[in-house]
Parts: sequence; structure tokens; C-alpha cells
Amino acid sequence: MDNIALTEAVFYILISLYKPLHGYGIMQNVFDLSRGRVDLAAGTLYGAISSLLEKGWIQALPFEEGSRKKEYKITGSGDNAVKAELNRLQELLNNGQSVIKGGAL
Amino acid sequence: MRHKVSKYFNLAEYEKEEKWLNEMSSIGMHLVDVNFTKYTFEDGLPGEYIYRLELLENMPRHPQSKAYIGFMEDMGVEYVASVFRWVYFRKRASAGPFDIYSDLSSKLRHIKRINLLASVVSYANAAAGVANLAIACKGYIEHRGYLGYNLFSGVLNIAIAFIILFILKPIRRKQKELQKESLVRE
Repeated sequence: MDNIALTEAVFYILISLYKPLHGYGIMQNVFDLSRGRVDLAAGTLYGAISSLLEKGWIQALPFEEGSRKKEYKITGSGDNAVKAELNRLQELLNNGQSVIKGGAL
Repeated sequence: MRHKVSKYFNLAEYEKEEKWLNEMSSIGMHLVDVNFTKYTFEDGLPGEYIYRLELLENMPRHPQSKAYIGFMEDMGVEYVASVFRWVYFRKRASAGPFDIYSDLSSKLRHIKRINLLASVVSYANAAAGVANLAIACKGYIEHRGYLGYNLFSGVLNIAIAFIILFILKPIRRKQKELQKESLVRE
């Protein structure tokens, strides 16, 4: 796994897709999870979905009968990326908090 | 009722154009069609729609653009019209704020796309200008002072190349600002 920081949009999209969702569902889920702080705009969401499909971190599910909208789901490598990112975030959080609590100012 | 309005915006003024369309919407004039500098508006409720412009990577009929426009429609965004690769989107204001991009990297990608288009058109004109001037020089030498249309075309091409670069200055500045900002935050 490459040692890279995910963007906020990508991180929230990935953790939204542990259950299948279409674009609008992802946007709503991210909005709710972040309590309205992250309001993904449609063009940004589309770009992120396209890049994640290309990377193979998410996949498009086959069309269901009567459904026009494409649904997406996270893949095994997407799951690995989320776990690696969580470790990285944990490290940031731990280091940040220990410095602040130590009274660095 | 439909109203036709003529107005000109250059490549660097898409935000100004967007602002104007939203001002028109706020007085109940909703854009329904664009044909270069001719804008068609339809009467409606004041402030019913929010308008946004975007330069696509491909022409609107290209399959990739069609897939994108279909996605936008699923997100409650309506495709209104297009001029070359520029598309006009709108969304009902009652559905909340409407932006096409919500983070720095996607905004930067869009700005870069606009600058690339401008550079290509500008360099193509510069190249055509040099070619025209070369033909004019050759004509001058071989036919004793005959210049023909090539001198005129060449000067015109080079002037256009410079005008485009000049017009796009604020967009290049904006790209630099976003690039600088992206070193610090997302």
C-alpha cells in the first residue's frame, strides 16, 4: 500500500460505500456523517468516483431491474486503503494531542 | 414568455457570466438556451434556479460528457445548454446551495482546463501567424514587393494570440493562487 494521505472527499466516499449507494446517496451520507460540514458538490463527487473506479478501490454494481442510477461498493483494495488511512489519522491525532496536552505553547 | 438578450462574455469571464445569469434568475428570468452571444430566458418565479457554468473535457455529445451530464441529472442538476465545451447547468434553489466543485483540487483541475484551452488556441494562432508571415516574406522576395493577404492574416493571427494571453491573465493568476493554497490545505 502506498503511503499517501487520502483527501477528505475520498475518505468519506470510501467509508460510505461499505454498503451499496448511488451518487446522491453518497452525497447525503457524507453530509449526515459530517453533520453538514462536508457538502460534496456534484462535479467533485463525480471526479472522485471516476478516480476511485480507475484505482479499483470501488466498483460499479450491475444495474438492478427498474433502477436507472448506478450503485457503487467498496472493494478489497479500497478497504485496505481505508485501514491504512485510519492508522495514519490515528498517528496524527495521537501526536497532535500529546503535544497540545504537553503545553507546547 | 420568452425573451432574447444579446450579451458577450470572453473566455475569462465565465464567473461574471454566471453572476449575470443568477441575477437574471433572481428577477424571474430563467436561462433556457444559449447560442454564442444570444441568451434565451423564460419567465418564472424570482430566484427559482441557481446557474453554474463548466468547461467539460470533451464536447457535450462525447460519451464521457454524456455519462457526466447523466450523473448530474441524477443529482438533481438540470442541463440547460452548451456552447462548444462550455455547459450551462441549473438546480432548483429550494434544494439548497449549488456548486459544481467543493474542494481545491477539483477547482484547480477546472481552472487548468480553461487555461489549457486558451493556450492551445493562442499557440495555434501564433503558429498560423508565423507561417503566414513567412509566406508573405517569400512572396515579397520572389515577386518584388508583392505582399498579398498573408501579411494581413499573419499580423491578425499574432494579435489574436496575444489578446487571448492577455484576456486570460486573471485566470492564470487564479490558478497560481489555488496552487499555492493547495500546498497548505486540501
